[in-house]
Amino acid sequence: MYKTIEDINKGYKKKDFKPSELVSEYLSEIKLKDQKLNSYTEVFEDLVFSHAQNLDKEIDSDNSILDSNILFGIPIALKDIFLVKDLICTSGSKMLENYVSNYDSKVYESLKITSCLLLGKNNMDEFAMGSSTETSYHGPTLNPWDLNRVPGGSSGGSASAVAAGLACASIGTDTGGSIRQPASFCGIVGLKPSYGRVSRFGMIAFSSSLDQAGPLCRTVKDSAILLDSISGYDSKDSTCLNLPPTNCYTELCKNDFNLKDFTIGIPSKLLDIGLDREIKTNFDSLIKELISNGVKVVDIELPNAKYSVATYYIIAPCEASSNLSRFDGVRYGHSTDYKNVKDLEEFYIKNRSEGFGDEVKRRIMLGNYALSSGYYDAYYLKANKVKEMIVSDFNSAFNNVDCILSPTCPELPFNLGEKKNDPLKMYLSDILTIPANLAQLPSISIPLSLSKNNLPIGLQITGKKLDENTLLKVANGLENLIGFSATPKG
Amino acid sequence: MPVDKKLVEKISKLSRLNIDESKINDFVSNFEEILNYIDLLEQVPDNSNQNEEDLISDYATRDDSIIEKLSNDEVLMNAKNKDGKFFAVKKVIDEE
Amino acid sequence: MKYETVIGLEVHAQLKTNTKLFSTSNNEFGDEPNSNVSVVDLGLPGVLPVLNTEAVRLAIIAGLNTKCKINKKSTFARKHYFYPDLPKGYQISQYDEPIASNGLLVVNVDGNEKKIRINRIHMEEDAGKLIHDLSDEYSLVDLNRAGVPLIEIVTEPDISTSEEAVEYLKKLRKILVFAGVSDCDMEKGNFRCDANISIRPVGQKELGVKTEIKNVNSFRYVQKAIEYEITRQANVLDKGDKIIQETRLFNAGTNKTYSMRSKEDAHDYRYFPDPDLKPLIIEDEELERISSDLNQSYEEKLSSYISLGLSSDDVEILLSESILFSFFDKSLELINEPKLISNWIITELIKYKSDIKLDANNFVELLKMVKAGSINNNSAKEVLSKIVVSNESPEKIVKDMGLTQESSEDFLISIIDEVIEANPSEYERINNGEEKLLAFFVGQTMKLTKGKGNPQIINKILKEKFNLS
Repeated sequence: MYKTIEDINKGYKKKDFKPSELVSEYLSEIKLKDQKLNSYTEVFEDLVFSHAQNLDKEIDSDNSILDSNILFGIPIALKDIFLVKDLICTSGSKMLENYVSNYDSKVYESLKITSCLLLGKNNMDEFAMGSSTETSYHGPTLNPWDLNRVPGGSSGGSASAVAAGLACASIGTDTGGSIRQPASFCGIVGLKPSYGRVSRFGMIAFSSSLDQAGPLCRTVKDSAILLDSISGYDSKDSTCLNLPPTNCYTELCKNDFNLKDFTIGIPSKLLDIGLDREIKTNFDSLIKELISNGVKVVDIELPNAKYSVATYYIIAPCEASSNLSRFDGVRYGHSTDYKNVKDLEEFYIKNRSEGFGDEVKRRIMLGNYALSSGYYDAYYLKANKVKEMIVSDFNSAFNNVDCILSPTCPELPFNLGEKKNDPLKMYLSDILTIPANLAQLPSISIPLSLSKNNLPIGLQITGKKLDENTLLKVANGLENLIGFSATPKG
Repeated sequence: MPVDKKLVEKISKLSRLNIDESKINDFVSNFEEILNYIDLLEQVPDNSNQNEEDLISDYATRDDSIIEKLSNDEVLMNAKNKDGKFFAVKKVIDEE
Repeated sequence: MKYETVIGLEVHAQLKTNTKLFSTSNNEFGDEPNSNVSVVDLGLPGVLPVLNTEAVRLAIIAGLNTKCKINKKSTFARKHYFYPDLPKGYQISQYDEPIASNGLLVVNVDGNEKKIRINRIHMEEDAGKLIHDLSDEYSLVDLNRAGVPLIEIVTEPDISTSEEAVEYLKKLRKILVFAGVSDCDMEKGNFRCDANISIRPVGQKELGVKTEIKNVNSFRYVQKAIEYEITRQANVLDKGDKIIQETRLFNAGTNKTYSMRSKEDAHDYRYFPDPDLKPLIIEDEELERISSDLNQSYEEKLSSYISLGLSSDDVEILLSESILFSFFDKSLELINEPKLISNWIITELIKYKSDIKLDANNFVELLKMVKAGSINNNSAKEVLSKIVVSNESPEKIVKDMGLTQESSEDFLISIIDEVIEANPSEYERINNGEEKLLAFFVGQTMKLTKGKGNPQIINKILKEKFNLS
């Protein structure tokens, strides 16, 4: 059940199995495991099976499509933040419990034309706000490596599903680390592309200047395949860059590179923040191995990165409070019974208070506070200035290195409920992932190793803006060097 | 401005939110903790040399001629309260 | 105590675009409720704004026509408040960096010139409509207007009297209509005015506390509202009380302003730059192109028409709508009869202005026939009513309808002789000096010619016959 995209494509070509057979396998695995894991909010059993049967016929009549289109018939899932016309999309929230979309997201449109199979929607932290998938209205998702622990968040459902073999891949979103951190916690690959690579049209907005969609999957090559299919200009998103889709998979397949071709940077001062001891040890031994293999490794400075969590937790809540103003129950979304309400103001307050969970409320209020008159300069404006400084830091660093390495998370996957009552503690665990969001850089997490008690540790590689090619080559090289192949038991 | 229940009530009104009485104290202390943390940015010197991005007019724009819209049914599809072709809200007293 | 008045005006004008400012639904007034709404207008989760280039062009034209500086870089900001007609819970507007600034409008009041500076022009989207009187229990929301492009034109507090305010509005309206920027139809709500009014003792430098009068929907009401407010404020200050800074509305029935009953303090709009939109950059070439394409300004065209010998009243009508003056210009190219063309446009063609299929060529053909006397005015009006819809050749219609005017003197003399024979007593009376019977004879002659007689010639013949002047 842990096939990669390439594996499945080969399997179809060799006629080891057909799409409908493969999809049935995934569906039964989901039935078996997902009661516990809760990685899916909705499984499109009938839809996907009949779609798969149609694909069976297509391959029968002309299987050359498998050469030209590697995503053909691949069973994937989508974080429940991507809108699909006529289907419910909840963004992990009671506010949108029954919301049926009137239109397709660009991400879904891009995938649809590849004829991949949409298994269902994955669970997530409510409105993508969280690092553990514990704030979801649908209940938490569990980590397949240890059912007492969180899978990370906000794309925890996506990560858990892929890690447990309940989907070949899933598309998630990353605003402060929400693809990479769960990928790290679940021992899989998670890629956040450069800001502006992938259209945000039809992706429920959290923090508009930081949100990006990206793949969670089994290998770096799979992430390249998926990035190639979802990236590219969309006229419906003004922040989407006017660039064609990436062509990373072809580049990777050329196999014409070596880790020794690149210079790796390590922000050692930043890593002095207090990493879990096992994580530090594992990371340090990788670096030793790289050096002994003749790879150039240099120390780099990111002097302002220590402000990144504070910067992020101003910018993101400000934008979120604004983006979530539209949820008032008038045109869609949760609305209370008019009998309970004496006037319009009360109607709004009840709708929003009933529809949103605590973390969302907290962030909306943080944002409104920071934007309110008298505070704008001190908070939002200041945060954006610091953001620019962080961008400068990276620009300087990238004069000397091609990629920057660090662990993805400062800690191992924590227990359910452990941080729920301590939001600040939860925020601080994003320290290593947030800088790449603020600087709009592409960044990927790949599995590094397992801890002594079998918990995944992830390695994060960050590249130059819009240079996904180099990033994925380095990631692929490291992936091969590391040779991680473990899967969760049971 | 002190971070206290009064502030939280003011901000929640601005946000059209209500924090449950049972949760409000925790909320206030979490809020205070977070605000104290983000005050870290006060330490950062004000580097006013804004590296202005090149003023490239690469902004996304739209041709005025292409029309794409929803039918009335589609517009009202997800609304709980409607009246004919309109959305319906509790009577508003103030007239803008 | 003598006070002087300080007034600033904010005008919102809807731009004449095909689609809305950030969405692809159509910008149309009066359609079925909620029928011009796209996913973006509805504020659905996941939607994003994309700027309409035509709206930008029109905003720039408005700026150029009011002598503003067009800012190379302008940005969009979100203005937050909760209201059922505001789908996203925020309006996309411009705050720190508007598209145009520092302009000027000169008005003429009672022969005196007054310069009114324009602080800024910025673009923003309109909100939907809330309807209160269709249901007892509910207010109803129609989002057709949500997202329609607006420009907001804000003056400095340079206006001193209600007359100046009205002149400013009239002039601004003329300029915007003439430039094709907006229809400025107050009844349709696409030209809305808010007035900020304060008074201060004469000689005092400090401004007094101002009140805002919102959404007065006619020039006459603006004048009355300002006048009432000035008096009201003076009374308050005379009593020793203070003016409350507030928003007021105007009651057209009582001619008074009244305070809006608002339940909360001033809105905290929490403006910040919209992260879904990039800054708007107007390149030099683009600005050059728009400036050079710019038609003559309103002033210039006014002078050129006056120099053709047209009266200023007539010119004002011609310039009030683009269909009228473009018809005038095209017709003038075909026949050098400015007065004739102007008369026919402002008295006759104007009746059909909402839908004219007629082209200038056929219009001028008709005018030529009138000038040559081959049809009379009444017949010409009849022909016009037909060709305005069908755009056929007037010659053809005249032939088909048999309207060719009878101008032959001999023929008309013979008809007149018939009329005289049939009406001997009137003939005697007019010969005895009852000049007013001329009209009777003209009428009878016209009757006998079945309306086709040339009235000028008939008159001439009759006057000669009866020795009248």
